Amino acid sequence: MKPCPHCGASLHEEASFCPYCARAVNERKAIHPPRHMPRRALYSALILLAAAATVLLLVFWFHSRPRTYDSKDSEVIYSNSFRLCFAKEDTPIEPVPQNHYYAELDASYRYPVQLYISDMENGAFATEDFMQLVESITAEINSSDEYLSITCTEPQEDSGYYPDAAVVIFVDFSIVTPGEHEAELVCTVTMKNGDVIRLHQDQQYSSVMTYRYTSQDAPMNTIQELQALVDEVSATVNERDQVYLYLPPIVYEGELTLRDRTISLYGSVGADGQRTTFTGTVQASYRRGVHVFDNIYFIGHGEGVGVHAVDAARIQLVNCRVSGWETGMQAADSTWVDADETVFEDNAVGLHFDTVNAFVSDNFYTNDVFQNNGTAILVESVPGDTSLEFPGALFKGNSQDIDNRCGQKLELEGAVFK
Amino acid sequence: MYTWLETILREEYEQVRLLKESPRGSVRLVQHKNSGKQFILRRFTGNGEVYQKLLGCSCPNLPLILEAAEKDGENLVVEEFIKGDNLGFLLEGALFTPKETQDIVKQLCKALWALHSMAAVHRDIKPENVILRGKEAVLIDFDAARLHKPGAQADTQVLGTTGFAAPEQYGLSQSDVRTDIYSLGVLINVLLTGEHPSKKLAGGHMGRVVHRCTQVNPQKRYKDVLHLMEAV
Repeated sequence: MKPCPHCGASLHEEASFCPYCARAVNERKAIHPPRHMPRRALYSALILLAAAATVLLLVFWFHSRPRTYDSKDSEVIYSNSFRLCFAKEDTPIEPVPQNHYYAELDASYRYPVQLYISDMENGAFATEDFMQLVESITAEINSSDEYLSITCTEPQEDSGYYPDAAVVIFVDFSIVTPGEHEAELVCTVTMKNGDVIRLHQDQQYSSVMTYRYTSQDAPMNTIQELQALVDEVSATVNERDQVYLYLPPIVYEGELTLRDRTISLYGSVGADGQRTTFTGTVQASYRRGVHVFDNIYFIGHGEGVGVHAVDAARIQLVNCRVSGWETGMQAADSTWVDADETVFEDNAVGLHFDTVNAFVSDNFYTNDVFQNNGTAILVESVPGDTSLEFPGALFKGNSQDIDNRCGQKLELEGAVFK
Repeated sequence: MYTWLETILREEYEQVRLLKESPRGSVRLVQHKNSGKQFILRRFTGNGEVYQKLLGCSCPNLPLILEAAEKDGENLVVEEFIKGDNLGFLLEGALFTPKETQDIVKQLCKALWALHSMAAVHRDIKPENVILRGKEAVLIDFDAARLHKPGAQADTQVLGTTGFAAPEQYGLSQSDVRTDIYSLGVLINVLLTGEHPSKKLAGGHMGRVVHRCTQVNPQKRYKDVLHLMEAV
């Protein structure tokens, strides 16, 4: 038995109702039919739902299908997350839609094109994050100019030259007729999700004039006359044009500085066997182009640097002799030096690399001779994984042939050590 | 429980009047002596499990079942007394308009939803078992009601009111919720025309509703009262 919650009367255990006070004593659950949508409304809702689902599917498909991002320009915003652009190392956020170079006829040139990737939110470089999404990156050159010979390398990651760049593409070209020439570089990035990104950059080339001076054209019988000629040429000849000085077979006592433009020096040999010789340092600092020194002796007296590239200059020795210096030839700062068919002898250090962030014009040191030097080659710093290659080189009588302090990759298979 | 309840009812209540009596039982209006509250007291022989189920629920279109006790097939039920006139009485005065019919049928659908949701079938829907309490239609008398048991082939007893009972109630197949839909269809027709649909089918939309409700094949009727309510 149980008591009634209302009157306290004793009730049967199963009672739902107190017959004494005539009141219910159990709990009840209200039953209501579910809200039933009218069929017409239901059909309308179903149609709307189907339409909405279709729209959603379309939107999903639209957003998830592989897309092509092609702005026909040197800058592309990918998925509102990454910004890709061709740019220069000193202004990596400023797109460079066009490269314009001056070139001599029939000469071969190479220059880099850098691709930078940054985060759209904070502007920081985002190469690492982006490259995780990348399947492949390719590059190609489009040109219908039959008087332009042009190719490009595959994009190279971690080239070492431009640490902030995602990839670097090297463009090789030469022009065979005067005038203007053009081509288009197209870089295609294929993402793992199937998206394709394309960047474009116009390449334009202008032919330049070539000026050749001999001792008959201008006085160049002393180092002072030669320096005066160099300075005058630098001041009067368009820096885009090429200047070649053909030097007489004499000994220049003193230093020569090439600072405001690229000038190439070509030595000669007299009937008496005398060869164009510099006994003081020849220094180049102008960054554009390559200074070529051909068939010249650089003979020192145990001190200083024979051929010195500073700032961002590039020097190439061909068929020269560098001897008697504390350092025969040195690449410092952002410079580069190269030597072919050249003899380095009797120097404390024959060839010294101590360069950072340089644009390597040539990394082959072909048929050079290193003999009787303290250290034939001292490698302190070389940008990136550039391999220094010495095909046909002869190392003989050096106290130390190679002092590779930075562990740079060297290719010595074709070299001879005696 | 049965004996305990019967004893107290005899002591604490008095009969107001006898409402119905048949070989199966009786329905009386009784009054609580102390409070003057009036209740319906049912006595009948048979299956009272639907009343047991209704003890735990409430629906504005069903009378509150206050107590139900059973002993040896005899049932004693105390339920709420619904004050008002039944549709049978009201039909003697006039037919109902389609709008009035719609309102009534919708409420009866709600009542049947409550029953059907507990697997019960009323099995005796007719004008006399629907009371209008103001604008509220209340479905009463569950004496013929039984629980629908899936798998049973046919009802074991023939119950229901002639004319309103569905064919399956005569043994064609077991009663289920569509049995009540048949009866409700007949009721709709009677409210609108005063006639069984086999004699005179209501016109218009409601006529089509009746037609579908009263299909001989239960599978061709409305699937449940919600669909009927929607159609109405």
